[in-house]
Amino acid sequence: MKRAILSLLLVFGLIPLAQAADTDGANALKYLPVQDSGRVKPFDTFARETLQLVHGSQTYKSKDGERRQAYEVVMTWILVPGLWDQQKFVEVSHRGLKESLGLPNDQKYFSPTELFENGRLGLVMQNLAGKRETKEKLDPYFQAAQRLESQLGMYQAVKQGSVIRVVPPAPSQPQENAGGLLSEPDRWVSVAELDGELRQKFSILARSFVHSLQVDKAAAAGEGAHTGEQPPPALAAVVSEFKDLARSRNPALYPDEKSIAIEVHYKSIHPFLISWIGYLLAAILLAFAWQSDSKKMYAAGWSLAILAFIAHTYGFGLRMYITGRPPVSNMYESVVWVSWGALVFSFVFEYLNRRKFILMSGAIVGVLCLVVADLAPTVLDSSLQPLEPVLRSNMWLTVHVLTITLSYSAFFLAWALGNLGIGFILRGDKPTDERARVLTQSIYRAIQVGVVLLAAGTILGGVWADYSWGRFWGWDPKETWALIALLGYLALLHGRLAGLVQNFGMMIGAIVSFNLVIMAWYGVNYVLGAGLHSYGFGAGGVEYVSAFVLLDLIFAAYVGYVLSQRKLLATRAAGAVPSETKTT
Amino acid sequence: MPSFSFKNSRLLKSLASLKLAVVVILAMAAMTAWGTFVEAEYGEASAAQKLVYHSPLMYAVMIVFAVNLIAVMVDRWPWKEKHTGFVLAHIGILILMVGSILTRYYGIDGSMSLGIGDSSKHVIVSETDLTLYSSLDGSRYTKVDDREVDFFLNPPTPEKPLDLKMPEGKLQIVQYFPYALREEKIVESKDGKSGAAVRFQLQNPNVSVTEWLVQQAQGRPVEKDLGPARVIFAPQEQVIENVDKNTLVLRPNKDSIDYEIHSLKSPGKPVKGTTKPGDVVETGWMGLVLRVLKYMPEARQEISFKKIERASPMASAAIQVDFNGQKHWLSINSMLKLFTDNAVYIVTYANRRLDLGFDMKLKNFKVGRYQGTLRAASYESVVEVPGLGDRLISMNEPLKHAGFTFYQASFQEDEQGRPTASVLSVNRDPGRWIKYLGSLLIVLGSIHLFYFKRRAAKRASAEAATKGSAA
Repeated sequence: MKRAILSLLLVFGLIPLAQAADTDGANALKYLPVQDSGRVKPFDTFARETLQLVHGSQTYKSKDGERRQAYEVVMTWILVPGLWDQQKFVEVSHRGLKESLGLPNDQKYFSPTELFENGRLGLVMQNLAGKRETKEKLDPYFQAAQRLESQLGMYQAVKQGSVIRVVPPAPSQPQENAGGLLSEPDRWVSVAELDGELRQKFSILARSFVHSLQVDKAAAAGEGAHTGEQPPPALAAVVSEFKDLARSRNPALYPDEKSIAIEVHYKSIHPFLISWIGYLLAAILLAFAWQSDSKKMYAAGWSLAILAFIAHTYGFGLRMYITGRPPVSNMYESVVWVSWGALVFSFVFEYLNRRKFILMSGAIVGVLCLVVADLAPTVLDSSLQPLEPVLRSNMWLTVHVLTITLSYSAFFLAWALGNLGIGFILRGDKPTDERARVLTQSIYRAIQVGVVLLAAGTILGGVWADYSWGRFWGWDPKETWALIALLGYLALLHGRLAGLVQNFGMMIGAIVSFNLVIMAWYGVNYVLGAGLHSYGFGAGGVEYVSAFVLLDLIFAAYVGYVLSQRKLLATRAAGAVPSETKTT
Repeated sequence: MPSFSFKNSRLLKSLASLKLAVVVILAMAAMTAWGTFVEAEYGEASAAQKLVYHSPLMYAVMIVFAVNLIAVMVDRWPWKEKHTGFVLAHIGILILMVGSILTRYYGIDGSMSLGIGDSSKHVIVSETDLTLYSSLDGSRYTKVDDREVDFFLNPPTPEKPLDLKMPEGKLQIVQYFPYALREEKIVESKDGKSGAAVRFQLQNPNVSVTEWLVQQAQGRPVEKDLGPARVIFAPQEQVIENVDKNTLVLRPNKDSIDYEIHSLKSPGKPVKGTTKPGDVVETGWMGLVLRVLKYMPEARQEISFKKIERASPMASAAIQVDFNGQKHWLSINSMLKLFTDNAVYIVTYANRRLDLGFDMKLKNFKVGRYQGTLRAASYESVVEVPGLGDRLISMNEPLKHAGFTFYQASFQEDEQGRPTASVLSVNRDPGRWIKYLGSLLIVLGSIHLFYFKRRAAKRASAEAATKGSAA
């Protein structure tokens, strides 16, 4: 599987490019393998995730306006802790928490020292421990307190070097766990625990790192880097020596250069940023192409959308290569996957029907999803996490999740088309016009595809549940909401068959029913927060999603109102009994 | 031929109508959605099942749904080729419903929790029973009353208690809490039979432990392990020697407490003394000091339950029993012993246990963990089953035996995080293949519907085009 994906990526010819650059100067440190949260990752990733946790961002802007990379920041925590203790960079954003700690509300960042020395911190942490002991669900206040606890804990642990595990353990006989102390399997040795040659090598590495930072700074200032002292060896060479030494301790556990390089590459290129910009431009071009009927514009729109889609696929493929599984195990990954699916559907429908607006709608879905994935890192955690036991190596689960989320893609596309449709109606189109009819047909088609996929996916979910714990249907909220969404769309399709739903009704239906998908996809994890699918649970973003849903519904209701007024006027003007008694 | 034809009747038309279908589908969606909120409210899936998914209203909706499905197929009779998808999907739904009914009424969905090295032949299911036994001599018990109870749906209250059949006196269930937290209180006792109780604290700048030690009866010792140290609350006459870890012995001595500190550093030479509540004693272990906080020469534990609103891992269901005016609490899966002058009674309130017919022994249980963490990556149980020998049950790899399927569901661990017991989910589902058949038909049917529609639409547009060009 991994091999297949990799060869696919190599076809794009981008990997060699990625590997060649970027290994000189302080950058070499990024490629140092570190064991953290159940897997081995580049120091770069570790530093990004750590800085994301502590600072709320993957880069740090110092007071003099310089933007510092995560790996530089996190490495200097170990080397010059005195400096960082006083720096205001620990993000605390929950108002209630700031209040109970007596911190100013208008300030976002605080220094570790002022937090550690805060007299009320102990009390907050005690309350948190009490909540945990009774196993109560944590409300946002305590979630924020918990975050602060891990922020400070992480900062402290990095400072002491105890979480930066850089050397694999020597091979040993497998130990029986029974009776003895609970041990973490294959636990790597941390910087703090290094001894002998490794310790020496690491301190040289640290010196070289500091030196390379000074060289960078000096170069930036246009000065010579000569400081009079004997300069330490180049960082790249030291890192490479350290890696060789660490690998020699236990080659079987040490990752190969390539997989580490690929992960650093993935983290550095922002493929989804590139693709949403591409989709945005494509959507704009296609809108013009639609209005002006320009063939050139249409072709350009297609090309741009395909380029963006390649970047999207490339990023997704890299992620799949790194995790070694289809990445649909958390919200972030599913958002990326759903938008990918929406684009695939829009390419196919556009190719078959040449309507322009279908691809445009697909591109809009792509922009929406990927912007959200890019901009909401606290809600949509983009870090690569190991799976819960129940989710591991299960073909049924993978198929089930992929199918259900693909149906969300189709419904998302229908939603975008629905909004487009009512937008035109607001601008004066009649629901019986050709344009509205064609749009409705596309909506109908997208919903049909979605219904088939969702029905199959929901049933596959039953098969998975039956296979994994002997229960075909356990009323698990995530599954149940998928069923509710399915029922909603089935009602819409049957209503259409029964003649209860006309063109405008179909558009509104596509918009309203999509709320069921939002509930199944997002709401169950973040709003309902109960049930077996607790692995996807996070917090936050509820206010934004609700606002988005509400605005959309208000828009739909407004168009409905405008349309009914228009009809009323038309019948009055005609002075006759209305021929069309259907209400939308 | 009779003049009345059901096929053309108005009744069939309205039962088969698409409008009814839309209404029923929406009703099912609304009920189900409500159920998920009920679940979130109670924090437990079984609450939503009892209150919503298996409620009479839900069943009524499902019946109308089934009638609608059947009627619409009768209405379209005789079926033509274009009906293939429609018929497959609708028959599939009906078959799925039949399978679900079989599962619900003839299936078993239970669990068993096995400690490592233990064996059991009982599966615990969700039904609960209330049983009363009586005995005249305290050794041979006879069942006096035994009934299935669903207190969640029909809770007894002080106004409407549940009376148990009693040969003498009165025994009522007067209160039920679906989710209750057990609270223990140590209270002074003066019956001359109770043991002593002491509350002490061991503290140094890094550690602070406060514990109760309560002797269950007068003169019965009680001990507690606190990591590297052990505390024993023993009677005066008991001799304690040759300890294997640092041991603190406390002994009641009228209004004060005698202590002995046995340190491993100086074996056989305990430090002795007497202390009172409020005094401080240096133990000599890592700067720990001992404080006796409270001391009762005679004490007993009083157990009560506090009601909470939502399910929690710490909470369990509990009932209050009124026995001749005396109230006692009884949590689920426990028993209560009651005495009269003539007889002994035992009340049990427990989940029903089904007999597997064979013993299942947990020989080993392992948790695989992600590298360098304590995060579980996999669990597996090695079980011994008569006739099968040793078998492995792991996540997604169940064991099938004697009509049951055993799945690895979860595990229990001690305070240090070491696994102590494996929880298997045990299941028998006579509706399984029927549900699979129904599912298959639904999927095939909806795919066919989709393609057929597409073909029909193409044909229609082609016809429209030819007409248009003809005109």
